[in-house]
Amino acid sequence: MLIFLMHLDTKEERDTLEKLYLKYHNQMFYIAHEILKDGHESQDVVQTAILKMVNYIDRIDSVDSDKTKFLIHTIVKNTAIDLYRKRKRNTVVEAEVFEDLQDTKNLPLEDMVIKLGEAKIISEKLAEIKAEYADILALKYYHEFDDQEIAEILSISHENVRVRLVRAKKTLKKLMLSEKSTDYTYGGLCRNEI
Amino acid sequence: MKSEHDDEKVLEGYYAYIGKHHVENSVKVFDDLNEKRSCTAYPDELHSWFNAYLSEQIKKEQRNKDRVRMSTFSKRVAVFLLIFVTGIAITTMSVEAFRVKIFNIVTEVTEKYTAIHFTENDLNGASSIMAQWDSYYEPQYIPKGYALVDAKGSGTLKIMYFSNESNDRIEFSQASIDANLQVDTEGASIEDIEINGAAGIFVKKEDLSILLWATDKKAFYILGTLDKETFLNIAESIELK
Repeated sequence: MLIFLMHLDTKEERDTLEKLYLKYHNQMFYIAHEILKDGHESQDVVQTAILKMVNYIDRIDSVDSDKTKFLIHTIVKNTAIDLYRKRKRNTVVEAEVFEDLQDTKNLPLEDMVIKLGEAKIISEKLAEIKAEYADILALKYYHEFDDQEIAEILSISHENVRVRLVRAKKTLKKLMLSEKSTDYTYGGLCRNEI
Repeated sequence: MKSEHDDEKVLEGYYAYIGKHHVENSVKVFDDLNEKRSCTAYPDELHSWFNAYLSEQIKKEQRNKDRVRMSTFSKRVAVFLLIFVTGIAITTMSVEAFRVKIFNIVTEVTEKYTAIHFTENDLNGASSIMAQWDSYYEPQYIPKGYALVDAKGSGTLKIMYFSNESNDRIEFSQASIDANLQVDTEGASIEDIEINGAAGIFVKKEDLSILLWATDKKAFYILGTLDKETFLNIAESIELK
């Protein structure tokens, strides 16, 4: 269930939202339009995304920071994808749910190789496999949102957040166990994920 | 001794580090959109929607401030009354023959009605000024199109009715200061105002407005459907006849 507060308590919050809108409104509309290819639906997505951002306006440290840009990008992208799926009446349930949840135990750290220097490559490979895995790790551990907040940002259920986190960690674990290092390209916008 | 909990903590730190790099990668794509987005026209409707949304937020904040101000005003009235009553009690006890005339407007904002009391407090039981009853106040400014159509009086209460061709009415009333008027303020907006230095209130409910004020001897009200500025102009123009 998506809960919008949709209320700005202070002038500072209003000013922050206005700055975000003025700086990123074109990109937000572009992202939505690239996914939906429809002007009216893209408008709906931008409005919904802005109202979602109001819920997190007090956590915006800076309008120009990478965290803020990522948050906006993620909210708009996932809101558009959600609308696209509803439009296509895509009700595919993630069938691997139960299988994945069987193995949630981490391998001991000694059996894995954490190569901090390769973290950038690992993150790119993870995003290449499935961008939503990299997104959810960033939201959970870098932005430090809780599961309910992540569900609202990604327009998915609370249960799906948990499942997706398990999968993301599992996929990352496989990457960390792998000794191979291949070339990559960053995926960019995610139309092919839909 | 190392535990699974410790491993998990280390991994969480690594997840955050992966997340940080993913954010940096994503931001590069996001920033690149700045050049690509120029080919997609941005709809003006979205600008209008956003401006309307911000305006609504400002109005909500103002309404909250008004609510707080009314609450503060009510508390101040209560404190004033407490000081007033205490002061009177002390004065009565300390001075044998002491005559104090105190005027105050006490507004009790109840759930449904606002009771406006204009009270004159005379410690020696002195009566009100009889001479006032034979004279009246008349507004020198009446909006264009309006004319005096009726008048009524009973005791100190004198009411003048003005009307225009559309039968819109303005009611101007004056009474002595000990009149007790009931004003329906349920769902109304209430604003403090001042008429020639006299305290009063402006109450607006739907189309109907009432401007109510008092001097140290008289209480007045103007009732009608006009705007506040017109009401104030009428009120400030009254002269004793």
